[in-house]
Amino acid sequence: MRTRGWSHWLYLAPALLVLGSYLVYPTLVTLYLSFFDARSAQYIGLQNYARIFTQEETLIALRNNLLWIIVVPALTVSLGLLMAVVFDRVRHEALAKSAIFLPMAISFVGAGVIWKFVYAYTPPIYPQIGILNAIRTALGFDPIGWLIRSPWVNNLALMAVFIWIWAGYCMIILSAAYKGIHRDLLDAARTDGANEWEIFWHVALPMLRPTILVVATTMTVFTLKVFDIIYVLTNGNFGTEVLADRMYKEMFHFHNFGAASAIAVIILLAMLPVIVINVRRFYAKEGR
Amino acid sequence: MRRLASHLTVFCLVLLWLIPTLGLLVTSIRPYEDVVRTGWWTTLFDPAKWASLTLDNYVQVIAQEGLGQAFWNSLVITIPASLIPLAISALAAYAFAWMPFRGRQVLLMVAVGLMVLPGQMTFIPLLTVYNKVGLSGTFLGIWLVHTAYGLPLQIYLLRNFFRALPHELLDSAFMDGASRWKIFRHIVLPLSVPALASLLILQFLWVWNDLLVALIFLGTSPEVAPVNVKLVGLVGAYGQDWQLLTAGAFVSMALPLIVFLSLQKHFVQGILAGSRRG
Amino acid sequence: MGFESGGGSGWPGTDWIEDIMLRTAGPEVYDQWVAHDIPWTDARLKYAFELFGQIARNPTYVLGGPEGALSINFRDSPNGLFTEPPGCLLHHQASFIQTFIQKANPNLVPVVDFNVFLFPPIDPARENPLSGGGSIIGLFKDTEMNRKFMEYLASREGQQIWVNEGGQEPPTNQNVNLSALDPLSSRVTELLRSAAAFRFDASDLMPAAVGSGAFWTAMLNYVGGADVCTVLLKLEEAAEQAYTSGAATNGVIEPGGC
Repeated sequence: MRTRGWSHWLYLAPALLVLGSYLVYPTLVTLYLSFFDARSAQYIGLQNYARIFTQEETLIALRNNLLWIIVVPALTVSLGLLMAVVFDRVRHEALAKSAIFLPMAISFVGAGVIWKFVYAYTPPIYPQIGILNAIRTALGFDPIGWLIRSPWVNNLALMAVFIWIWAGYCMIILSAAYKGIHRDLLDAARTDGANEWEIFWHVALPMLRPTILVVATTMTVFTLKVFDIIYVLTNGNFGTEVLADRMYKEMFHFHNFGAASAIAVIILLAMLPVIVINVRRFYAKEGR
Repeated sequence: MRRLASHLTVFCLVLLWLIPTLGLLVTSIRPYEDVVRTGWWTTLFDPAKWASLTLDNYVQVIAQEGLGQAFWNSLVITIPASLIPLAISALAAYAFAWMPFRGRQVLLMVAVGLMVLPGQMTFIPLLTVYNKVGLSGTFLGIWLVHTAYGLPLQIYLLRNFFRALPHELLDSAFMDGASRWKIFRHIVLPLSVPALASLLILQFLWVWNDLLVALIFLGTSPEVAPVNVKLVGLVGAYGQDWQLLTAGAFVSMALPLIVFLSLQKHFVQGILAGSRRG
Repeated sequence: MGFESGGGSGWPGTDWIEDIMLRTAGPEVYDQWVAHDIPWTDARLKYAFELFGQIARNPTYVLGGPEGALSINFRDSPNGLFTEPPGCLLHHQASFIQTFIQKANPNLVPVVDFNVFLFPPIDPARENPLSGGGSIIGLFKDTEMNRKFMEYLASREGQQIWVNEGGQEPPTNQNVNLSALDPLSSRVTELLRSAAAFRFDASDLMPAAVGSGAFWTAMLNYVGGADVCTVLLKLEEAAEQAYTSGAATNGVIEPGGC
């Protein structure tokens, strides 16, 4: 279709209006506010940022975000990969996949309630109603506060919820890619006497690499945005806070818009590599 | 031997994934006295207890705790918040896909960049403006916010989908003198129904399951709060009344689960399309 | 002891510190503490925290130990009083907990099966004040009529209606007839009327960043085993940012703190 004057702007206008006023403009304002005090009245330079890197609460949040980024995408993608490959070999594949995929339809809040109950604690003299502590006591151990013990037990307990939700997503995408690999290729390797492990490691995995990268990137983005799970399960207590929850607290509990904005900018900066990768990949493909 | 190992692994994984949800379902129909005294799994193996199972917990959360109203609020929020962005992004994607104009690539690149913009970057300025113009706590306000957050990904995916439509079809229609609008309305949109459906489902689930955006732009007052906000309130208010919390959680999950189970194919397609972005 | 309360976890601990401060430092110092005229690192606050820690951090005093106290929801925490064998023998909480006790244990009769007493004195040289919250009525439009209505609500007559209609909050007007109250609430009202002094809940009076933020977190961290001075220094830091007056300089600081 040839261009016909300006009519394309009619199609673009609603989108540009919304994107401009709801995403671009606020982003610039937030950047600006991050250099001001709690009430956005006085310019204070980099003080909000300095506080993020010196104050204990935000340092813990930074540490936890880092912990999440290291542990969660790796575990979620590996589990998804394992499922994609193993489920391919059983008869009721679709059914099994649905079971794993199901949590994706559930909200983080719903999942939070589900898992809060899994981690439930009652004092040792009473029967345990949370399944994890029931297993512990059945094995002769004392029940523990899964969401209390810091920093490993409770943070891993929270990560487990995320993994429970998102492993299905990774599985679906990796499974599609795995099924896209030519069967002949795998069979040829089998006739050459390679065992299943070697086939997976030397044939399938290299071919899946691009997909794994995409999925891992997506998981990293979601990990950085994680808020609800922590909000529902621990509210950031006991050393479990992450940046998104800290920002919410600064904004709504302490009404410190400067500090909250600075935290938002840090989250954005952490995501910047992903944004750059996306834009570059787009440019490589389309930009002529 | 190998088959057995595979089947065993699959069985264990599936079991592991289902147990938490099963616990939720069972607990939500147990009476309070049982819930605080014994684990939910004891009910499964004790037929004597089956007679005591009850829907009272659901009645209580829906009628007395206002989850019914919240469910309605969620519908009022979610349906427009899913349809509005789709309409806007379809229009824009059409322009991006089929109308050459100066700055097209740059604008599209901005949209790609905005895809992973953390919502946190927008909350404070938006809320400040919303408070001034009276949009905070209104449905219109939150529809627009969800629209904005959904747009970048939708524009990009739809644009890719539109571009993959057969060139000749659109060109010949154009030669025949059909207007851009006619082509959009009668060729592009009908051919894109599967893609539109996938995106609609994704956006529906995303909005329905949202907590943070609703907390910030709607707040907790019962006339507007969606199920998730209400559910978080119940978690705070009921502590370890698990029979109520689990019933509430199930109410919040029911609709997404129905949507998911009945439209799983579209859902999966949407996700696969999303994963191929960039 | 149960400190879990969703987004508000930790607040039951603040009530402990408040009751201890009133009894070991007295109402005047309590007021200075609320106004941040003395810093959190003051010796008297350190002492209050340590006294509380001797109970809360002792696994033989608290059901489930500190981990139990942090895990259990405050509404469920008194239920240990009524199990066989009992999980606990005493419970520290505001009078509203009666509702939760009776909801969870419908067969119990107040005063007969469970009863209430004022938190005991600690320093024998001091009187025994009472701390609490309350319903506060505000005026948005200052008119003669509204003022009259407020006065009526505070009067004996107004509060009598409140009580007769089933309101279980202890009435603040001394002349209200208590016969319509349930026996436990009327006992609480007697305690309120005979208390040596009354102070409003300190954490509710402080700026939100401290009173419903840092203070709650501090209680969780302290019960969880954190060092008392680490906790108090952090509280002081939060207070210096939250109070418009900045650092605490108006009061006489007792040395020997953190």
